[in-house]
Amino acid sequence: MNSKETERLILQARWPEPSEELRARVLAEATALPQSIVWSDRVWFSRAWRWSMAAIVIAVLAMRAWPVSPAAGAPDPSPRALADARAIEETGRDIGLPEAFTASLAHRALTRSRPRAMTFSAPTLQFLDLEETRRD
Amino acid sequence: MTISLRPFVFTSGVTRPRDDRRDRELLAELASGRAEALAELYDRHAASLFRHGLALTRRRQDAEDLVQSVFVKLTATGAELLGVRQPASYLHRMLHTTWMDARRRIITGERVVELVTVGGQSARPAFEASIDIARALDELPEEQREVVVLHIVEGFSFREVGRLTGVSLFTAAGRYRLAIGRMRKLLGRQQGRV
Repeated sequence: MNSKETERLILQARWPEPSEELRARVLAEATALPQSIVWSDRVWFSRAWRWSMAAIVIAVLAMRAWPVSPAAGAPDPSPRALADARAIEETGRDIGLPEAFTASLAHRALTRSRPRAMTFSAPTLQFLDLEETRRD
Repeated sequence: MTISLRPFVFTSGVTRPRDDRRDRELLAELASGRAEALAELYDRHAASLFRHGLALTRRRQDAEDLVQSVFVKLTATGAELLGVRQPASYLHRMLHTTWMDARRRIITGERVVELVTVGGQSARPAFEASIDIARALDELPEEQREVVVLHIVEGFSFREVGRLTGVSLFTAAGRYRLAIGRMRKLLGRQQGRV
C-alpha cells in the first residue's frame, strides 16, 4: 500500500456526524446576545482602514524626512566663505557703507559657494564698478 | 538530468479551496447579535469541527463538548469577529486551543476506537475496513492524527494546519509525512493479516 492509496482510504472513510442533540444544545446555550457594534469597532477591525492608516503614517514620516526647501538641505558655508563674508563686512564698515548693504554683500559671499546663479542689481553693479575704478 | 523534489513538495493534492465570504458575513452578523447567524454557522462548520475534535479526543462525547465550547466562545467574542479573514481556520484554531486548555483537566486513560466508518464500495466488509482505519489512526500520536484529519479530511493546506495548530509549515508537513508512513505500514500489516 502506497501513500496515495492510504490518503484515498482515509478520504473515503465516512466519519460520524455530530448528534442532533448537540445542535439543540449549542443553539440553546450559545445564545447570541444583542450587541451594539459601534462605528469605531467597524473601522478598527476593517482591513482597509488599517492599511490606509499605515499608509498615512508612512506618508507623514516621508514628508518630515523630505527637506522643506532646497536651501534647507544645502550644506553649511565653508570656512573660506565665512572669512570672505567677515572681510566684506569689515571693509564695508571701514569705507562707510550702509549696514544693510554690507550685510547683503556678506550674505552673497556666503551663498556664492553654492551652485546657484548670482544676480546683482543694477545699483550694486554700478557701485562695484565705481569701487574698482577708485582702486585703480 | 531530473532532480526529484518530492521530499520538498508540501502539498499532497488533497487541499481544497474554500469560500470564506459567506462565513465572514455570518460572523459579522453574529457579532451584531443575530441569532440566526449562529445556526447557519453551526450547520456549515459543526461536522468539520466535530471530526477535528474526534481526532484530538478520540471520544464522541468529548468531541461534542469541544464543539459546543467553540460556539459558546464564538458568541462571546463580539466585535473581534469583524476582523476574522479566514473563518474556517479561525474556528479550528479556537477548537485546538480549547482542547489544549482542557487537556490538562481531562483524563483520557481509556482508548476508544470510535473514529471512523468506511463507506463506499469496499471489497472487504465495511466494518473490518473501518476498524483498520480507526486502529491505524488510534496508533498515531495526537498531533499526527490531528494533521491527518485537518489535511486529508478537512482539506486545509499545510500552511493553514501549521497556523491553526501553532507550528511551522515544515513541522506540519513533517508530521503528516510521518503519520502517513506509519499508517501505511499499519494498514499494510492489517491487510496482510486478513
